Amino acid sequence: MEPNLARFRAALMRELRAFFSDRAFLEVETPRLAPYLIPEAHLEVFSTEYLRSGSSVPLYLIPSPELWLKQLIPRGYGNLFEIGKCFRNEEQMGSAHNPEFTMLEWYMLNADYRQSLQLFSELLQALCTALADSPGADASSLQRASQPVETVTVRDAVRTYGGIDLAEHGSDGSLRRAALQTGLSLGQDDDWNTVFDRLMLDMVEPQLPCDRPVALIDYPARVSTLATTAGSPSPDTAAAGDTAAAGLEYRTVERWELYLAGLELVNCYSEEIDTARIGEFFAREQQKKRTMGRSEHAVPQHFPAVFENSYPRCSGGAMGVDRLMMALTGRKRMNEVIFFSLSDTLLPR
Amino acid sequence: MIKAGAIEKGQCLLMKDQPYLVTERDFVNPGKGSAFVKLKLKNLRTGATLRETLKTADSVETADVFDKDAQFLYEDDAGYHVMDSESYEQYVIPKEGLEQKGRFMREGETYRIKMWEQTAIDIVLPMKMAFVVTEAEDAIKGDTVTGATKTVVIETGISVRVPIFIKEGEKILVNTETAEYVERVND
Repeated sequence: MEPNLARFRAALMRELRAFFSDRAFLEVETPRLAPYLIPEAHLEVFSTEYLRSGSSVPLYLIPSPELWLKQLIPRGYGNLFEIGKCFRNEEQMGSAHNPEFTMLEWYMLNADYRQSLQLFSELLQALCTALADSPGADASSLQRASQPVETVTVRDAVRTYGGIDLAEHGSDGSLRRAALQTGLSLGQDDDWNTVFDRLMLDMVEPQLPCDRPVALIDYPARVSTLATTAGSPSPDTAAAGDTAAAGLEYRTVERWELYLAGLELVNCYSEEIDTARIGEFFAREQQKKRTMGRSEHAVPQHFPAVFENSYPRCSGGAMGVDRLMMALTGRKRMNEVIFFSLSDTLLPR
Repeated sequence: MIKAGAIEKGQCLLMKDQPYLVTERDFVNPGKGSAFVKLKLKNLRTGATLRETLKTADSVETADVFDKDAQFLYEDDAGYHVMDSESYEQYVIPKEGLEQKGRFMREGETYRIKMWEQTAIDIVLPMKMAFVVTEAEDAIKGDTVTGATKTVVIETGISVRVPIFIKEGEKILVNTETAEYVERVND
């Protein structure tokens, strides 16, 4: 990393902490090593073991601090944030990926995903102002990041950039046929979620504006997450005739992802706090992990019960700090904005 | 067969029965979705570009493509006729997509060629090659504008923009990808 970028990074870390601290978010430090993890089918984990008196206990490097932060919320610390390393195995070392990365995660109590989006918009504004004169600052990148956040529903984005209305294609086959007609090449057994991912990757993401932050909001409920399903019926949850009859109506969850300079930067929810539904998420993800041949890990069986007894409504967001560095300095490769990328430290094969 | 997640830049893949060279590769892992690899590929027969997105768990067939030396004999409507420098076996390489390279090839000269399934599919030219200037007008006296250029013809018959000091009979280095003048060669 160039010395000026290293100085910019240090200033960015200071400003991130200052922003949240000034708004009475408490900074916490939770463990990187955990004896159990929230099951997430698409994440592969790093495993290690703790040796004690002749026996060993399996431990895992956390893929996100969600496991801990959600357990801290009922203890009465108020709004929380944490900046720390997270680890995702099999995360290929692409231009915007490193298996070890820095994540900012925040939880805002008695708030929903839209209030978190407002908070994050303010964060971008504050950072761009505070870092304008910092060494390594890139004026045009900061200028783009300081534009008002454009908000687009996922359904509208896929309709605009892919020409497909997700709500009209509830079944695997229907969405697959519609995507094939647009010229996307797909595998024989690609299901609804895979086709949705492909539409986002090949049609939506490359065409999103890069001159301002864009928040894609209201994700399809079929993408399994711990976000709450949208409360009141909105135009986006309206179902079309046949689709509704087949039980495949288009439902959304209260989730947004923010894109800046072409990078998927933040993922945010109105958090699911219903014990039964969290239990269902655990079961579903564990089953998928087994089907996908992911490595087994222990699961915190006590976790769903944490949400019993008036757990507060809250919204949580997670942001890749290294990607924010890329977006604010106009760099295209993550290894330009971190000190040692894993691909740089591994011996050549 | 290899897993798409293991594809490296520079590898040759067989897709839709055609040999492709991987020219760009990046991984994308949506936070809540499966991992994909995005590829930019070049068709080794036609030069056409293809963009593909694959799940990292997908299997892809590799294409067994290798280089060998061959002498360029002549060209006709069928293509470029070359002869394997070791086995003396002759091949015809279709011209499709190779027209630019063909303009720089000299009969009798040896080049690297790419082979796939017993057929020659591509010619690999050095990035820069030296050519004799066969036609050039004399610089107009008094034309001292810095950076002034003129058009000359090189031995393979094609035109190249060069600085005005280049004379007929001199050798110049030409970039074979851009067909641009690089520098004068002093023997």
